Amino acid sequence: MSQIALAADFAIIVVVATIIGLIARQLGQPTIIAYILTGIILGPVVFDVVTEEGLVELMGNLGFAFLLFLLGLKMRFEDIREILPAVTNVAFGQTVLQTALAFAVALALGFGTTEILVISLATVFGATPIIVKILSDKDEITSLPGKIDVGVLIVQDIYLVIVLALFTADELGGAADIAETLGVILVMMSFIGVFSLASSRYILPGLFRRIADNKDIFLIVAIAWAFLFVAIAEGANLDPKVGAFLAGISIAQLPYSKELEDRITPITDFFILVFFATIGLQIDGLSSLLAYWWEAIVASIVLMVGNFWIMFYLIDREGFDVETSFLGSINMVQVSEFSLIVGALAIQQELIGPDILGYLSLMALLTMGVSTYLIAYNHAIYERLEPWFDRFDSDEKTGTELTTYDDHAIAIGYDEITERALPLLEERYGDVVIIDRRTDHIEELEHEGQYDYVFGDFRHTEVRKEANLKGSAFVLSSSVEREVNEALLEEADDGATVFVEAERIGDARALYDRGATYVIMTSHLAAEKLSEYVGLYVTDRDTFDDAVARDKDRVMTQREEAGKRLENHETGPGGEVSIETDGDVDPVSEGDHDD
Amino acid sequence: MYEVLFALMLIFSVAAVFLLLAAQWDLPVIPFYLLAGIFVGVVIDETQLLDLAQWGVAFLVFLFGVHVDLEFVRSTGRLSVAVSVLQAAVVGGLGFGAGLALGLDAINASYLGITAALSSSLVATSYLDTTAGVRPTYARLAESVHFTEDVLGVLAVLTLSAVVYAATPAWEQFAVAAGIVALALLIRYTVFHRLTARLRGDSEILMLVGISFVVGFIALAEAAALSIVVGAFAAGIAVADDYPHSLELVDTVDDLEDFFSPIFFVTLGALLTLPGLETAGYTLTLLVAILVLNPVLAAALFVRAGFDGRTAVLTALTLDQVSIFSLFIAIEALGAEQIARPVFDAIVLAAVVSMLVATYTGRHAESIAQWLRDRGFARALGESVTSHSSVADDLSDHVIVVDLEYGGRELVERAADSKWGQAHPFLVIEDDPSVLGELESICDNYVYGDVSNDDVWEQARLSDAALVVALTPRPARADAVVALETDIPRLVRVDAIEDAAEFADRGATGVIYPDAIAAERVGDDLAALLAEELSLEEFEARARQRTRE
Repeated sequence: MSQIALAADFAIIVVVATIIGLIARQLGQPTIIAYILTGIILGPVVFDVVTEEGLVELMGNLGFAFLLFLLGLKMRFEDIREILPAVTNVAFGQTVLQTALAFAVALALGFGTTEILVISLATVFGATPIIVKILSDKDEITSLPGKIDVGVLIVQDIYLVIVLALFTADELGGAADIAETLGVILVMMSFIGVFSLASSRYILPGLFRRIADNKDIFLIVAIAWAFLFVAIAEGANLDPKVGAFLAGISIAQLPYSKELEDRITPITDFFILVFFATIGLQIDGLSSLLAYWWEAIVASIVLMVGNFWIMFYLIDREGFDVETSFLGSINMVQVSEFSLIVGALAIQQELIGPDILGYLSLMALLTMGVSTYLIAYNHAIYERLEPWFDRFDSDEKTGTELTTYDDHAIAIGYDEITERALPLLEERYGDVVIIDRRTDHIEELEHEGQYDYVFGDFRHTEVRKEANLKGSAFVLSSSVEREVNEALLEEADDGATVFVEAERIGDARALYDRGATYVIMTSHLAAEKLSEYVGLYVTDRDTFDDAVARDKDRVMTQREEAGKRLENHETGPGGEVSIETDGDVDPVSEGDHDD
Repeated sequence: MYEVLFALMLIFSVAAVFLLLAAQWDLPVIPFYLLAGIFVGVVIDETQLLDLAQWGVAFLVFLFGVHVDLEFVRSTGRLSVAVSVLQAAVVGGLGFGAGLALGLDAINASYLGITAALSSSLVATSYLDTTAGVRPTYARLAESVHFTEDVLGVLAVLTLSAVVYAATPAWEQFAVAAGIVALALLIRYTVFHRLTARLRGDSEILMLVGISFVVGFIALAEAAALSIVVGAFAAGIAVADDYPHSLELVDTVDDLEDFFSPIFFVTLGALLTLPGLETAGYTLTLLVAILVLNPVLAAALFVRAGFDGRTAVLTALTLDQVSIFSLFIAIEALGAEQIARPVFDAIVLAAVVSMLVATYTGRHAESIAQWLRDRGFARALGESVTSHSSVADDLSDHVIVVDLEYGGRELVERAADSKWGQAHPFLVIEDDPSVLGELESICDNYVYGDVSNDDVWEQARLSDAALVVALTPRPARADAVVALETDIPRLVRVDAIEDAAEFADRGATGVIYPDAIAAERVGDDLAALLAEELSLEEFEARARQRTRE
C-alpha cells in the first residue's frame, strides 16, 4: 500500500482544467474561462464529483493571496508615472460611473436591495488577466492604449482591495456601520501601506541586494515577506489578502521586481486555477447558474456597451487621440475577475445566495468570452468604424509620447566585453539597456547612472519584455550559454544585428547557422594571442618580455579601477561574497567557473 | 484551514530567516530547511502539512526525471555505473550488517543500508553545475555516478513499496512499474514533441500539461499500489528535456518545486523527535559510512579503473552525503508505520550533518585532494601516471600545454604550421579520458594525469621545458601551474581581474585574460561596423570565415 495519497479532488480539478484549457486555447479563449467552467462541470451544476473543502479550499485561498501579491508586484509607479494623472482620472471616473450603471441595471432588473448593493459593488469592468494576457500576446501591452488600460487596472486594484476589505469585515449593518468600517479599513491600510512603502525604501533594498543573486533564497524570502504582511493584516483585523497586496507593492518598487514577478507567476497560475474552479463549485446547481439567465444576458449587453462609452468618454476627455481612446476602451469591456471574488465573499457573509453568484458567473463568462475576440480584433474593428468615430477627432488631441525602447541596443551581461562596446552602441543607437542578474553589477550601473538596466535572468519572459528584445536593433550577448544565445537569436528581430559569445568552435558554427551576425570566440582569441606570445618567446625574447609586462600592467590598472569603483559605493557583501550559484542560467557566469 | 495558512506562514518565515543565515556563510539550503523544521515543529502540527509536503516530493522527483538525459547515460559508459553499483552494494551491505549487529530487524536494517549506500544528487549538483562547456572531468564523472545512485534510489523506493509496505509482497509490481515507465517513454518519443510544438509560448497551458502528467502518472502508480515517487519519476521521463521545447514547462514547474520543496524539507525536520542514545548510535554509524567509507571506496575504485588520483578523489568527495531518496524512503516508511522512530530520526539527522559537511568538503575538495596526495594516498590506491602517456626520450626545450580544450587544440595546430613550432615540440597534459584518442592523433608527446601531481610534471620533463602555458578556464588547474616550483616561464589564462593580479604576484610570467582580449577585438570590430567602414554582409562573411580557419 502506498501511504500518502495525493488529494484526489485536486488531481481531478487539474486534469479537467488542463483538458478544457487546451480546448479554450484552440478557440482563442483565456484560461480563466476554462477554470470557471472546470468548477461548474465538476461541481453541483453538472457532475457533482468534487467539493470545495480541505486542500481545495486551502489552495484556492493561497491562489487568491498569490494573485493579490502578484498584482501588488506589478504596481510599479515608475511604469505609469507619465500618464498617472490621466489614468487616475479615468480610473476614478470609471469606477463611479460603472458602479452607478450597474446599480441602475440591477435595479431595473428587479433584484433585492442587498443584492443590488452587492451586484453594483461587484460589477467592476476590466479583467487584468485577460487584458494583460491578450495584449502581451499581441505585443500591444506597451502601446499607449495598453499602457492606459494597465494603468487604469492598477489604480482600480486599490479600489477593489478596499471593497474586498469591506466585504470581509464582520458587521455591516447600516450606512453608519459601513462608513465606520470603511474608515477603520482605510486607517489600517494606510498604516500598513506606509510601513510597506517605508520598508521598500529602508529595509528591502539592503535585504534583497544580499540575496537576489541566489534564486532559491530570493523566492523564499519574497514569499515569507508576503506571508508576514498576511499575518500583520490578519492581526489588524483586515482581510489577510490585502496584506499580500501591500507586500507586493513594497517589493514592486525595487529593481528586482520583474525577476520576482516571473518566479511568482507560475505559482500563482497553479493555485489560482483552483481558486477560479472553486467559484464554479460554489454554484449550487444548474438552476442556480441559470436562475437569472436572461437578466445576465441583458445586463452583459447593456454593461458592455455602457462601459465602452464610459471609458471612451473618459479617455477622450484626457486629450488622447480617437484611436487610442477607442482601443483603450474596447479592451476593457469585460467583467473583472474580482466580480466573482466579491461574489464568493458575499456568499460567505451570507449577503447573497448562490443564485446571484450564478448570475455574476454567467455575466463574467459571457463578457470575458466575447471581449476576448473584441481585443484580438480591436484594430480591425476600429478600421471599420473609423469614419464614424472621426467625428470625435480634433486637432489638439495627440497620442502622448511614451518612452519605450525601440530600435535600441541591448547588452546581456555587464563585463569587460560589453563595457568596452557600450559607449559605441550608445553613440549609434541612443538607448542602451543592460540585462544582468548580478546585484553587484546592477549596483555599479545604478551608481554610474549612465545606462538603463534590467535586473533578471535573460531566460525569463518578463525580463526580455521589459528590455523589449523584439524591438531592438542590436543585441550583444556576453553569455556563453548556448541555450541563452539560441533563444535570443530566435526571438530577436530578423533585421537586428546580433553579437553572441561562444566558448567552443562547434557552438560558434551553430550560432552562425541560426543567424548570428558575429560570434565572439573568447577561447579562440585567447589561443590566438597565446600562440603569438609563444612564437615571440621562442624567437624574440625581448619583445615577448615587453608584451607580457605591458599586459600585466594593464591588468593591474584595471584592477585598481575596479577596486576604486567598489570603494566608491558601499557594496556590502555583494561584491565579495559569492552566494552559492546553483548553475541555472546566469548570463554573466563567464567569469565564475568552479573547478 | 487558517491553521494551515498560519503553519505555512511560519514555515516560510522561519525558513527565510534560516536561509539568510545560509546565504551569509554560503551554505546549501536543504540542511537549513531541515533545521528550520526542527524549530517550526515545536509550534505547529506537521501532520496537516503532509498533503502539501508530498507535492514537494512529487515535483522534486518529477524534475529529476525530466533531467534524466538518456543519451548522456548511454555515452558515459558502463565504467561509472559499475563503480557506483559496486560501491553502493558494498557500503549498503555493510550498513545493513551494522544495523543487524545493532539489533535492528531486517527492514529497519535495510533502511540503514540504503541510507549509507546512496548519495544525494541534489546537494552535489548545486555545486557541480557550472557553465556548460567548462565541466571538469570529475564533475562529469560525478554526475553519472550520482545519476546511477538516484536510479538505484528509485529502485529502492519501488522495491520497498512493492515488497515491504504491501499487505502481501508482490514481485509482479516490478512489471507494473516497468509498464508505467514504458508508457512514459512512449509518450516522450511520440506525443510530447507534437504537444509542445503546438503550445509554445503559452507557459500557463504548458505548466498545466506538466502538472497533469505528474498527476496522471501518480494516479497510475497509486492505482497499482506503488509509491508516488515511481509515478512522478515516470512523469518526468515522459517529458523530454530538450531545449527549447520543454524550457517553459520545466521553468514553470521549477518555480513550483521551489515553493513546495521547502514545505517538504521543513515538514521532515518538524517530524524529528528529541534524539536518544539509540538515535545517536545509528546516526554515528550512518555518518561513518557516508563520510568515510563511501568516498574512500569510490576513490579506490576510480583509481583502479584508470583515472588519475585527483579526479578520483574529487569525484569521491561528492559522494559524502545522504541521498534525497533516502529521505523520501524515510517519510514513506514513516507514513506506512514501517520504520522505527530512532532509525527515522537518525536518517534525517545524518542528512543534516552530512549535507553541511559535504558543502565543506566540496568547497575545499582541491586542498583535501592535495593534502591526501602529499600523504601518499593516491599512490596507496595504486595510481600510475605512465600508463596513458607518451613522451619522447630526448624531449627538451619543449612547450608544455595544459588541457587540450579551450584553445589548447588551436595552439597545438597553429604551432604545427609555424616555423618555431618545428623547433619547439609541444607536450600536452590532459586529465580528461574522453579526449585521449584525439590527443594521440594530434600530438606526439602527452601525459595523462593531474597537474597537482609532481610525478606528472616529472614525466612531462618540466626541468627541460622552455615554457608552460595553461589555457584552461579551470582556476584550480591554472593555480597548480602557478604554484610549480620552477624557473621555467609560465603563461596562464585567468577569468577574473583579481586572479590575474594574484597570479602575477605569485610568479606567473604572464597572464592571458580572454575577456579583455575579446573586449578589445569586439570593440574594434564593432567600431568598424558602426562607422560603416564595411557593410553588414561583408562583416558577417568575414566573421564566419574565422570559424573555418
